[in-house]
Amino acid sequence: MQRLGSLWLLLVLGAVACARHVRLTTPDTDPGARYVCGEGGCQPADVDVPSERNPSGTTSINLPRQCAGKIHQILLVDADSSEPKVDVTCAPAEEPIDTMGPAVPIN
Amino acid sequence: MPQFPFTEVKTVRRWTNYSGSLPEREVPLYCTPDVIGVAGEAVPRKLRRHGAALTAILEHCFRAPASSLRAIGSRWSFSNIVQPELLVVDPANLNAMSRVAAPWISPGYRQRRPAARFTPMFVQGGARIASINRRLLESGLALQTSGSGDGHRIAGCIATGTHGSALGVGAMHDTLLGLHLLTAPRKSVFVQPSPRVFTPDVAAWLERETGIPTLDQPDNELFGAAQVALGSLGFVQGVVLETVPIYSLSGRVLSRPGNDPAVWSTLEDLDTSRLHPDIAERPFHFEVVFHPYPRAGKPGAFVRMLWKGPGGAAVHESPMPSVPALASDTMGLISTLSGALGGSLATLALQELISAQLESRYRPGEVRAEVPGMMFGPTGLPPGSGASTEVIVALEHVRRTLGLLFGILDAEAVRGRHLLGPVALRFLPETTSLLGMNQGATNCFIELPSVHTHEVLGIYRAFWDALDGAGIPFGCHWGQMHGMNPERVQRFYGDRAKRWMAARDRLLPSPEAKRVFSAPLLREVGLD
Repeated sequence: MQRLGSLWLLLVLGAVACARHVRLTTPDTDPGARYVCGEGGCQPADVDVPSERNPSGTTSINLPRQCAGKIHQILLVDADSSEPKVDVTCAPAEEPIDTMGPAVPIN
Repeated sequence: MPQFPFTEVKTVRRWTNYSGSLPEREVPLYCTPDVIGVAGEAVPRKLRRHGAALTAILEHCFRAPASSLRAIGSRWSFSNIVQPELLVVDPANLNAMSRVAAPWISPGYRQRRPAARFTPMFVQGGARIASINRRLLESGLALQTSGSGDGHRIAGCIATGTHGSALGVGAMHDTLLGLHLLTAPRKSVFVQPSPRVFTPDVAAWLERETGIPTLDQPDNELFGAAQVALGSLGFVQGVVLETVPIYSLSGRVLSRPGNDPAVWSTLEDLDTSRLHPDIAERPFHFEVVFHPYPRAGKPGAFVRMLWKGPGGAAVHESPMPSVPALASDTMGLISTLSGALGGSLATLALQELISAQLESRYRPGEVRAEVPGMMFGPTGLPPGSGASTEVIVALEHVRRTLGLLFGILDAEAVRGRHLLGPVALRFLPETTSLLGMNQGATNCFIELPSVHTHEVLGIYRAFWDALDGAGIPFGCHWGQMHGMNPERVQRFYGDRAKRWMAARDRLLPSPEAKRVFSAPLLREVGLD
């Protein structure tokens, strides 16, 4: 009975949970350090529970491969809708200052 | 909070693994060496930064009482092999790759393995399989084998014995040629087989690049132990993998009834020819997936066979990121639902659900040619609420083992307890590693991936116990939920377990070193 009660609670919670989330992923990259950002800036993430990053109501969008992982700006258009769009501005690669002459490996 | 060079240090209030099988816990010191923005550009070369960071972290761990170090990889493991204690190193940025210079490859190795076909490649321990695949592809190379997904980091991958089903190759750890282990502050060893594959130049290069004194150690016993080290023989700074020219994989999927005689006969002798009478060559990759609750006359056994072809037969591309197949809260709901529903109604519903999943994933017909990084690319496995165990038995025990398993599945289903996933079989030849699971001449890996429920964990336990009762020696995948204990380890690994511990004593002679690289798993299975 208790099990059925918790089941109903889950179903009700699931039905009323209508928050929308957008997951943006850059192709050809791997996950590294994690941060949480708001208007006030970015902080290292202090919670690392993978299932909490995969809630219901999530739209997943792959960013352009052409940016090669370097992004200047992302504008989420209609982020709270069922069909959000992403306006992406890539960032050009910036190599460290080099010295003319024979090539020297950097890393 | 201590600070380490070129390293972001933080406290993580709540942490768990990908499947959520480990209870959430706090990680007091979560260290990520070489975070962009921390390292800057006016700093030493990459490996030197990593060496400085890891040396300082190790100094802290050796000095601080009761401190240990766990490198956590991608956290795909279901078992507590990834369980952090006080300090975690996230090796995400330790991902450099370098070809081993040709003159540093020993003449003996070149004679055994012609350089035109095999390319030894140094890979830092934090590199993900996906990233390795991408960069190898750019160089016209490929891994010899990998797991079914590409999300693992290489050090974690080999530490747990991750494998595919490459009949002629083995597991990932069987393609290793050397490992660079940091065993104490300012102390490391480059372990390689004997006779040596590399001249001492490789160890000298590692020492020069990382700034950490490195002993060159050609030694089969240490190498065999380090191949599958359970994350407990030192910090794996990097490994050398034997890579091959890029190839393609193509083949076919068969869909047969669950009791198909040809499939069952093949499981006993691995003579796959009865499943591909028109192709003389044995497949490179062979796997069988069974429906746990097969229906008479319906597809219940799915066979995937892949043959190697030239690299030019497939488009040279890398996979796009995958999207989890389900939301994690939905997975949680399924987990709860399955406990609330029972009886034959649930069995019927599950039969349909699992059939739909298997029949869409294993559509019978031709499998078009792809490069291995595409074939074994990202998975859509959702995080959270996951469970899986994998049992390994010698080929001669497969039929009896499956008989026991399906008996348990039937009996438990009558009681309303179900496995919420398929029964997947893969096959590997014998390993030279001491703790690799592919100990027999030919090995069958029986995996039971599922949604996490108490009922499923009960089925896993019943399976392990039934194998004990039948006197069938078995191992379990180190990175999955397992029933290993000292007795079962002794029965399956025999003398090799003691040899692994002896190798650990040689690599980590001091009590401090053993403490720093210890793990709850070692204590549970009698390897501490």
